[in-house]
Amino acid sequence: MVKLYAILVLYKGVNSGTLLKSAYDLQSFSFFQRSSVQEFMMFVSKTMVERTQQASRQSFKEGEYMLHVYVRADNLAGVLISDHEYPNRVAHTLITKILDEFTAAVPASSWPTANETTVDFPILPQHLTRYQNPKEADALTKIQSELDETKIILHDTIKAVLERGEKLDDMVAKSESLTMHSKLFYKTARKTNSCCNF
Amino acid sequence: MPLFFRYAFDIVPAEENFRNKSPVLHLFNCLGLESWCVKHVYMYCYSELMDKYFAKPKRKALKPSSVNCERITKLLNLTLLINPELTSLWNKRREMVLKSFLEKTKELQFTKLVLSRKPKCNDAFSYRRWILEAMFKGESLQSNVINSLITEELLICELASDKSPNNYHSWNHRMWLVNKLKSVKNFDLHFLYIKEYEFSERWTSKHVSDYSCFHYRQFCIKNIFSINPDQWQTFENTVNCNLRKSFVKILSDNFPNDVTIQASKDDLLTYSEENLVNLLLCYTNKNCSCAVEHVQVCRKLEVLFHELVLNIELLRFYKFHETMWYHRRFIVHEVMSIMYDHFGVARQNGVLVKNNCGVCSMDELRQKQAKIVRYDSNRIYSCVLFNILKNIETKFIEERQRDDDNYACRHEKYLRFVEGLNNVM
Repeated sequence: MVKLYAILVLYKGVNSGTLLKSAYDLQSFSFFQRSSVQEFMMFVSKTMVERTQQASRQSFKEGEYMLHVYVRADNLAGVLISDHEYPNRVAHTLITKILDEFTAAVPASSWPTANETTVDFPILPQHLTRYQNPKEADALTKIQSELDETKIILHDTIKAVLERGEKLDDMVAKSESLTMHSKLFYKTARKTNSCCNF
Repeated sequence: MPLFFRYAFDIVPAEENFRNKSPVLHLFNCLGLESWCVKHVYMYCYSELMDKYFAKPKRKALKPSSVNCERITKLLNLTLLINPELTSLWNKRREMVLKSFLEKTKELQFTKLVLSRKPKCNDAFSYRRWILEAMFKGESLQSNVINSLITEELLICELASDKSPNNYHSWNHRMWLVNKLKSVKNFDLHFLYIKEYEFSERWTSKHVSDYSCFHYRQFCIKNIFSINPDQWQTFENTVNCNLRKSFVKILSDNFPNDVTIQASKDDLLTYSEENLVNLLLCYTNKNCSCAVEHVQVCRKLEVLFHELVLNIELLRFYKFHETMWYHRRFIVHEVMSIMYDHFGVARQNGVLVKNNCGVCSMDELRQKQAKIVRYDSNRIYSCVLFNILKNIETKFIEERQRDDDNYACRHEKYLRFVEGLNNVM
């Protein structure tokens, strides 16, 4: 399946990332799980932005999802969550394009203090629907591949960027941004994935 | 109706009942059950059912009757929603449908709910098939009823295939439906063939590593081979592509150099089907006098080469997906078998043998499966169509290999050793 689940724009602060704008397509998840899945995508995106160097691109495989992260030199970051079939190159081009548009629409001085409600950038949901078909972005890719030489670092799992001894499970348990419900959801999802789930 | 409002059932994770509230949630047509109560509810329903209503060696079971059928239904509903992989319970439902304690349309709704949570549940699909079979057989249905049943069924398959990739059961169910409709009256099957062809084209281009949907695509292609000649125009309009034009384009781009016929793309467009087939396949050495169906052969080739073009585009764009390479094998195999068919031969156990004409049985007295001499096979492999196909494949394999696609090399091996082209490639 070629699918985009979410696009998020974040700001990488000194210690933590803040969310500036996001859009989700969660129709393929069961109705009762959607809010938890959304919270989770937010949480993981934030964590990964915090763990990505400035001016670098990374892609992570996690289960059946791919997480593409790009943090620019000016600390603006974009995250795109897709499945494995979505071409990496296209995903990163798309992030670049979105961040450029964001810079044009929202003044850089407001980034460090802004949050989702104060930022006026309504175009994300449109992008999310339009670029479900990666061929739409293909024309962009062709121009971009000559311009952009930043290497995409590909990781097989999120664990690759966690510090030694650190575990995603512990981070989830400690996190304050996740509700009880979502933590429980994470735990059960772990459990069902660990045995063979037909 | 947007997906948001579809009926669905799910179990919602909740560790304990700390709020002293009902565990049943109901939001926007979606039914949820909190996970803490699942164990208790399931144990109760299951053992109640098994103890009272299923036969044990020493004890007779209660038969479903008008008195207890409501209770059995409730127990069955819950148990099957939580755990749909229980064939005996589905059989109990069948028994109750036969005795008219359960209504067929309601049953279709119930299985839909089950599939919303477990899109790969084969028991639910086979139960649907059983119900539909009875509905199609029983009364002579009005065509609008049939149409709404089919629309619903296709929608359910689509949802299930979307929810879980490589869903063999949902694609198999879809195939069963199309095959089943062959025997149903009041129904335009060819139109469905065309619609499904178009649908599968869209679906495969978005699900590039879903092998089950590619299998369905192959099924659709074969169905298109059998549509009425007068519906060809409808077909071309639906797929919105001039098949002849794209066929001629790929042909003229890949003409072998040493061929004496020099035909430009514009020339080829003016050719009739018969001329085109004669050009591509030269002559036929069938042993009987059956007429060659030029139009038919030409259209099959158009469809297959259209598929080849699509496959090339997808492989270039998405790269490194095994499924699409396997689909390519299918396309090549089909083209080859059209060619062999035209020359009246077949490949059996790796060698070419003479094939009896399926239409007339003139050849029966001759020795069966006579081996083909080298001279004949050379003539087959020197036809224009084969050389074009060979050019396309070698060029494409080289191109993909430059892109580090390991599957390209495997595709070449397939052509050499499975299709048996080692000597001619």
